[in-house]
Amino acid sequence: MPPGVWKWLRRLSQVTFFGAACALIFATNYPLEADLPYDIIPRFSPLLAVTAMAASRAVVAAFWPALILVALTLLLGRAFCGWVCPVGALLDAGDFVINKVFRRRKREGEKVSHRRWRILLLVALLAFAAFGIPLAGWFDPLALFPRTLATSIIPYASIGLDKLTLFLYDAPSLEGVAIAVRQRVVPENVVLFPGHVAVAAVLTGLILLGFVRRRFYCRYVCPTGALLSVVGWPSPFGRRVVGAECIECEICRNVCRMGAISGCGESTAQAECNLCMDCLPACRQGATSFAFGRARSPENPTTWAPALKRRDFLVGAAASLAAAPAVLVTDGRVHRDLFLIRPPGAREESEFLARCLRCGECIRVCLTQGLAPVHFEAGLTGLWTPRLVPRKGYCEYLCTLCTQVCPTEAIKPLTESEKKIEFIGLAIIDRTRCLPWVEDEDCNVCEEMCPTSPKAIELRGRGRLKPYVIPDECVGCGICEYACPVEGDAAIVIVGDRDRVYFVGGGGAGQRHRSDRGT
Amino acid sequence: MGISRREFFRDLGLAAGAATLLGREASGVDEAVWPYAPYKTADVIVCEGTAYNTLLTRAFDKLGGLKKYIKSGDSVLVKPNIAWDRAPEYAADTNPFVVAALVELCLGAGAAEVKVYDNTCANCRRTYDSSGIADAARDAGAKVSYVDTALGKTLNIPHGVAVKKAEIYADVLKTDVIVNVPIAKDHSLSGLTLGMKNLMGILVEDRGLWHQRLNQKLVDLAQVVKPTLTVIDATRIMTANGPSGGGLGYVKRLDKLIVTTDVTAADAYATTLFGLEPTDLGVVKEAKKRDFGTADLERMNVSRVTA
Repeated sequence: MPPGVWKWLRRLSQVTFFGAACALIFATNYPLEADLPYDIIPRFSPLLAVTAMAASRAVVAAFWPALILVALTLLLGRAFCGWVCPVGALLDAGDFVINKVFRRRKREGEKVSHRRWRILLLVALLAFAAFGIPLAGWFDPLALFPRTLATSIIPYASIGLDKLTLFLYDAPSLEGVAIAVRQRVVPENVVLFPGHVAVAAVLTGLILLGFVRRRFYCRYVCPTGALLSVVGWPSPFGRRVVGAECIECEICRNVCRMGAISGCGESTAQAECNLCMDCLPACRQGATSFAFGRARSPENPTTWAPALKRRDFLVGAAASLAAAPAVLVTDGRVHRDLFLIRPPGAREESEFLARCLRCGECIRVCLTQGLAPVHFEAGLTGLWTPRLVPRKGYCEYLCTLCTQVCPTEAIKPLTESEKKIEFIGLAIIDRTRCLPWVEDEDCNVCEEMCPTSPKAIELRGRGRLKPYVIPDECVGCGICEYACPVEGDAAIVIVGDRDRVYFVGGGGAGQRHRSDRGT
Repeated sequence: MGISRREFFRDLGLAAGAATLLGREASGVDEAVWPYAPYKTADVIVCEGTAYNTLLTRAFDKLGGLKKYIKSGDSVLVKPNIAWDRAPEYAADTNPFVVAALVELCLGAGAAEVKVYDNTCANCRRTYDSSGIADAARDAGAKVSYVDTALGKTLNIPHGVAVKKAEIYADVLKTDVIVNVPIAKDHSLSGLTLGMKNLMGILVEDRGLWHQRLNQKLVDLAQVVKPTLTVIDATRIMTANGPSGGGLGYVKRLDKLIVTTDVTAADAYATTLFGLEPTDLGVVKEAKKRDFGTADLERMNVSRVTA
């Protein structure tokens, strides 16, 4: 096979996996009837697996695909990074554009020792996980990619399509097209949250770092790549150079997107090489090959560069251990925002934080788009975990979509009858703003919307009927807050922490009364 | 018939021009004129049974035949109550088989198209599916679509008492005949939700703001958007915890349909199914005050069909 073919095969593989990942996330949508493994992408990450299990002190069997990746890496090295990873594919595309359009010089001077930052990050993330704080999802490409698509790119694209079709609707001959598209798009309640911007900014930033170096993120940041380096550097497969034929032209060194080739071209850092195969056709002498066999030989000094020195390791671990308590102080487990509403089926907050990968699958699938990535309402470490914002989108009473797509069951799967008695919050009426209470106007919107049976909001009173919440019946779905016609903030709001509400009339607000709602 | 590239760009340009110059503010429509029978007395047909197709055919025959109301080539909107994410047996949404029967009959009467939609209260995709209406109506030949709340047109209600204009779904204005198919249900604010309340499903504005002086607003709307036919689905009625229900204990099976051209008469008669008087219902009282439709049982010409 001519050496150039491998490069094209790699590109084909990248495009395929990238497309499949996008399609899967896009298909993670009501009614989830295709029976696809919607939550599989993050489950391939060994880093997410290790950190989630360490933080939650539990074996999460759902991470079996990560074992496949580990096995692949043991055999082939970091082929995943070059051939499969969707973020890698995106960065390659970005780097290609940057190189073509801006004609950046390919030769890159680089301090190889900077490579240890990603290893240090890996060490830090593992140390944090040991403290019960899994932060790997912030950096892991298999969480970052779905999160960005789910919470930022798809909502923005939907808004764009919404505006575009509204514009086309005014054109006589395009009205039909606009309506047809809108019928498919409009049911998606298009909602933007400030949090979306931050998520999008991260990915944009990673692409722009291509101006500094190709695959900047993969070289210096990606802790998952770091883990795969550790696992894969002794793999029997890799780049081999026949020393006698090499004329030390250094073309391969300049071609290498990972900066994995050192010396005059004969030396490969197997911990860095992602087997992109660019150096194969680049070698005019035909001295380069990828093959199984003994990696180390005098003429083939495959190096594990950069070696993480013991001092680096100790410094990284010590710094993390010192930082962990400081981070924990701001943790949602210590101070919980009263209005933080977790998705239905979410485990107890501490366990939820430990398991949540910040992958955004639940946010993607949410029927009303009421789930949003949090900033710091759940503490520093809760960044990008999901919360329900009922004013933007309530939790549909019988919908269990988010509980079906959580990779780690941080949100436990619920059946429809379990969902009916899943208490995620409690409605509280603001009697200083509610229309019947202060304006002496008729209004029953909250009561009308209330989906429980019997209703958790009751209209009472002689003359003007006024709404009252029945705490024992209220599941906190938030449709009342969503639909409340009062301008601005609703006159009925959901608090997420039921146990902290003691002052609601009728008593028993702190008690979780799981009555059987019948059929 | 496709459009040529030239037309495409011309229309695109027109759209751009229109959008920039005029903004997206739709021009107001004065009274929408849908055909309706004058309301001196009202023929009210009470159907009893489960063969909905036969029942409705006989009922329409008593009203002069469906062809009297639907001209060949008409665009017909069958407007059920598709409000809540509930299975049909909870009686929170119109019976899907009644909707399907109406769709078939309208197509049989020569309608060019029969459309079925409603602005739901719960999420539209779940509601269309779990109510069974989307599937049943589509199988019967209807064009089932979601109400697109961004595509509204302002309907002026010059003689409105409580409301002077309403933002309604633009597609409704392209409809020749409206067949109003509510389900008879309990409702905390309006007492019951019936024919006139069902018309709120064509509104695309924030309906929360309609709940103040609701009865007056409902009559304001009904006086302008007069449904040609009203078929109240009382095959199952919801007697409490309305309008969303959620328990089978609230549901009473009656196997009845009330067919009439007068929406007030339909609502007035339907109160008797709940053991009430027509004037117990605020919206009927309001209609009676304005002499809109037939609110008195004595002035109704009630006949029965069974099948």
